[in-house]
Amino acid sequence: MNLLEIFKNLNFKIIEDKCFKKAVLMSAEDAFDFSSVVGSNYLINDNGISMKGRNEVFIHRSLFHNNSLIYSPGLYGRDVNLELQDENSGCLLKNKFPSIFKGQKKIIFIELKENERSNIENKIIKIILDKKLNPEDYILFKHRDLYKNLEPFLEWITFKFFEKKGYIFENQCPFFQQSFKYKNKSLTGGIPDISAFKLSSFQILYKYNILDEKKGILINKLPNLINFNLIKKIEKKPTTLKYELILGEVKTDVSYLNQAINQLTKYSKVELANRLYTIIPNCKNNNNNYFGEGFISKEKFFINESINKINVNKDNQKVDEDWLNNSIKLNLLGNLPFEELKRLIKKRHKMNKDSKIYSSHLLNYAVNSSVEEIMETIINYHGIH
Amino acid sequence: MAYTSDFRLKNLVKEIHQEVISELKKNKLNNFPTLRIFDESNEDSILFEKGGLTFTYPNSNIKFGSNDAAWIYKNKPIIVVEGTFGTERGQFGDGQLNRFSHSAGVAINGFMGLTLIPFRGESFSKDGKQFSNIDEKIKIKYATIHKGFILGALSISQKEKGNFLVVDIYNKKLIVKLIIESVKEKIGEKNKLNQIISECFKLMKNEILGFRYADSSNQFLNKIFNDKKKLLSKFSRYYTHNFVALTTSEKRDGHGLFGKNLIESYLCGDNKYYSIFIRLDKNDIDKLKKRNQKEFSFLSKSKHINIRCFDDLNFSDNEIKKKIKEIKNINLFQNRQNDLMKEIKKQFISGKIRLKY
Repeated sequence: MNLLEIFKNLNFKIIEDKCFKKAVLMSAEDAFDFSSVVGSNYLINDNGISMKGRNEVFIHRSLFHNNSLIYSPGLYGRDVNLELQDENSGCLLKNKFPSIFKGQKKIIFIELKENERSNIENKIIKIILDKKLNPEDYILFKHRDLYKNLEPFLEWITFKFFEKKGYIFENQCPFFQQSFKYKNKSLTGGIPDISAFKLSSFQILYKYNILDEKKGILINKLPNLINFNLIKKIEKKPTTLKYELILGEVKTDVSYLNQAINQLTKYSKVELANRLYTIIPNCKNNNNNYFGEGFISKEKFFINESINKINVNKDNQKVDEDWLNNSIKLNLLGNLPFEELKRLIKKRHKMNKDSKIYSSHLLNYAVNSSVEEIMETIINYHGIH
Repeated sequence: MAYTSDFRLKNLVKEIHQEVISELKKNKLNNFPTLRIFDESNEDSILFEKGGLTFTYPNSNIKFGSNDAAWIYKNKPIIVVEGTFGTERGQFGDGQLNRFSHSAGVAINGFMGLTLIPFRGESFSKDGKQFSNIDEKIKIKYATIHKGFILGALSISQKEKGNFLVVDIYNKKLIVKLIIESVKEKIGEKNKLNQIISECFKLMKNEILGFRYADSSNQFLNKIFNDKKKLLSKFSRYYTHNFVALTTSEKRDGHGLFGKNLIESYLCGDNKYYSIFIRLDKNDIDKLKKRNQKEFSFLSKSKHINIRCFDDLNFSDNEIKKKIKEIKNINLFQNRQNDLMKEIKKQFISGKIRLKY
């Protein structure tokens, strides 16, 4: 794989850089996606800051837990007394790291030697400062041997593919880990590397110009729509959309094909996903009639569909659609300042000014609000028309 | 691949570091510690002296569990951190002990190990408590930090060169103070490190008020005899791990076993600590030793732990002996044997099951 060529083929500009010869130029918005999926650090301080792992709301899908919502702090946090706190809402992130949301960013590539430790941010920042440049304009993409440690990068390439097809994309998505009894069998799960989905509620997000048939979004960006000015109310004819779920297992080399197939087989047994893919750069044919392939050829990403369709259980999908909607709603709430969110939660629960708010109140607020209601609250608060 | 909670922890630690630096600057101190932290956890398991975050048992190559980050000054660790959100991710009991060896290893090597964990967690669960006016899909089980974990940490701090502190991950103010005072101490500035450490110990002790270790455990043995009816120990345990549980990657429960043995070998005081594996025979033990299974290597080499197996036991009740043989290879998670476990404990304590030597 030639990394620079892959970026070029995804329509990113390769520029000359005073410090690192070549860099990939990205808008702040694209750079946010890149950091969120790959985990590459913005060089804002000595250890760097990435956007990865900042919007967790659920650990597992409710389908596998008798429809219960297995919430986890992440996007929102808590204090020692369990009271709800802001941890990673879009409003807080912009306040803490304003430079992330401004201008353009340069992705630089550093190949680490075999026994070199990867915590090199400080060293790189010094190189940039020596040339009197601003480290905050840079994102550091570290890699080793090209066929190792590149799974998150491959997840990002997969995201760029599904983004153009109007999906919400998530890497390392919640599923289930413990056993799940289904059709008299005890099944075990895992954490799918990638997930892309569509829901009937997307037509609401179309109305606010967040999504359309050819414009998807990374789930990590949903709490940050306001930071990238991505909300605009538009006239849009209602579209009929239905639930669709895609899951994939990413491996860096065809030698791991069996592992990927085994994982996908586990995911298929719960009859939830409509399509499943192995995503392996050098595997055009996974020799499996039920799972499609994502692969790289001539530094471009392609998808082959499977020959046969897999079974889906519509009832399972219905439960999952509800759960995904809750995930979307919680993420969207990140576009509101925390004080405003607390005010809304208190009002909804008829609590007085001094009442304490816990995660259960946040969750209950999201469950009992529609996507449209939350979108209207956001645009009204920010004065968007 | 790292879990989302690993990233969350590392993001929180990085933010704490920034607060430490800005506080030190405010105090006009310009000697800053560095934070050793990696984006992906695979580098955590490299030895500290080779740039990683893991320590070994002194004079051996047996690794303790790896840590998540370390504050370092002049290449020496000031504070080494291990963090977990287990109490808010469905870890209610002994599972928490899996992490015990991480900070223990730091303290045993003479440095300050700090475990960060929510002391009280809300784990959302299908079996949890439902609240009025809250949707029925939202149910919570409350989990608290394992009191044995804290007791073990206090005991290690007393007996070893280094301290093993446990602080609520959400008590950011205390964590920042602890790091700042540690830095001040290292650079020879006037500091309140001892005061802050005492504050940490006080909070830890508050969590275990009235706690009696292993009171309700079916496998903890407060009496164990030999064939001559001599009381050998008042602090031992029998374990139900079988060969598969210790060697199969899916079932491997070595982490928990390591943690529990490590804690109990510190809590046993003057007692000899026997670790009795009722579902392993001599042949299994030999095979485990040959395989160099990490956690088992530690147990067999530790001078504080005395391993015994089924072949080392004498039974007055042949029926029990037969039953133990019968469950040697079954999955105890799927086929719970609570009544049998209670009976085994009873027979150990009454001397009906005895150690041969």
